[in-house]
Amino acid sequence: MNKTTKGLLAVVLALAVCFHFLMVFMNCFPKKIEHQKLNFVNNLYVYPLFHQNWNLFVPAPNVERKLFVRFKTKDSFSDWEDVLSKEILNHRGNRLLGNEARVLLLSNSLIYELNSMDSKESCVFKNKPTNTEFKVLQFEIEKYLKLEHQLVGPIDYELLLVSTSNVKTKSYYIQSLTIN
Amino acid sequence: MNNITTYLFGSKKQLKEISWFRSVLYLFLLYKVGVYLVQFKALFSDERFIYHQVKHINLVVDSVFFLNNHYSVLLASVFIISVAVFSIIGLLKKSNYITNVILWFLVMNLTSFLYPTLTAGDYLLNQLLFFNCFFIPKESRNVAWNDVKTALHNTALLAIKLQVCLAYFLAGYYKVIDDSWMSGAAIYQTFQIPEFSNGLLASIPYSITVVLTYFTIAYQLSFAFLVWFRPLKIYLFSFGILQHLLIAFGMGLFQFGVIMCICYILFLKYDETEINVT
Repeated sequence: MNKTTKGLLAVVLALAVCFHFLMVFMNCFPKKIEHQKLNFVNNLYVYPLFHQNWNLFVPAPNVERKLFVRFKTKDSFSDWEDVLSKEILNHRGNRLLGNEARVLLLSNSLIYELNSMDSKESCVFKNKPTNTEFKVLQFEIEKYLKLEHQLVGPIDYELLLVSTSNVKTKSYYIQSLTIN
Repeated sequence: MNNITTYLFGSKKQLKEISWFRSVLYLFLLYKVGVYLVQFKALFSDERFIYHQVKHINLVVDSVFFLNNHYSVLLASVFIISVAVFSIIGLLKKSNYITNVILWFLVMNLTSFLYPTLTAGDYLLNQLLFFNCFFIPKESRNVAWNDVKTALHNTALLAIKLQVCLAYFLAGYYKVIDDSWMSGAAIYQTFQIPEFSNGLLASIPYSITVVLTYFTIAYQLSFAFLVWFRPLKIYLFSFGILQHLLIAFGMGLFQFGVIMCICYILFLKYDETEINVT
């Protein structure tokens, strides 16, 4: 390859690297540029191939969340089961077995659901919430019950979601749920 | 301009380190396959916990969400086994552009399928696999094509280093603009949350966690600049490895901790782009 071609290729590669990292930087940087067309191009390039997120533990978590479930047995209800704590203990038992995925899955869904309820005080839901976050959590819990307890529907169950921070504890008791 | 051309076309840089990096990367993928198999029921079977929505946006997104959009237990099994096969091909040093691109595509699909369980480590892994496609190409008879391959190899090496530096810098910058981190309480707070802690971490005195918090911010912000200075690397990597092992085993983000450590391999050699201050 002659010198000129090498020089041209070097320019192309240098520009490609600059463009790539500029796009990734723009996409990840906390302050966004308010330019609709630029953001469109940016998203088109970065998502999903180069998508990434570096706001690790920002803000630092300061709310402890718990997820309890109980289901109908022949006579009454089973004991409340602390689902997330059980998964966390399993994961602590052996960090290599990949229980991390189960903890993150349940923990993230719980966070989204509790965040969506943030404006509400502690309460009892006679009917299930209709928001998407709850739909996702409900799906995961029902699959969890089926897998861990071999439940075959229709079976009634209830949920208790609890969030505890330095300031206050809130809980949401959701009744009248059914696994199909 | 001459410097850039010399760097790109001179010779394939850091072959030994890249070979180690690749081997560790493929081993890590085999470990991930093991995890997928252990957790198959919860993650990939018909009884899986993961809530799915079909995504059709454009051709690129559709290709990354192919498994997600056309899910079946069989297809998921094929994807997982294929990752194992292509990782073994890589470990045996038989990989080429095509096998590495296929491996990247497979892993992207699996990570997209498991999107609610992803950590920053998974996103970084996708980037590493992308740039890995250009590493150590086989020599061809065409000299001009060999020059292009060498240039791509060296560009990919630089790009991974830049990617790691960018990741640390952004992680640090997010912390600087956050009150909980700047007050020094962030790590203590995090260690009190059971998902990201254990008995030992939760009992670390507050004063020590404050020091750790500020050290972490300083480390992340300065990594991108200090990693190019040879005498500082040993201290930088020692702290980094300790920190990532703590994240892996203490906080339970095992895969994230390991993938960050894997990246350090590429910074081991002191090539000519470094600033030698000794």
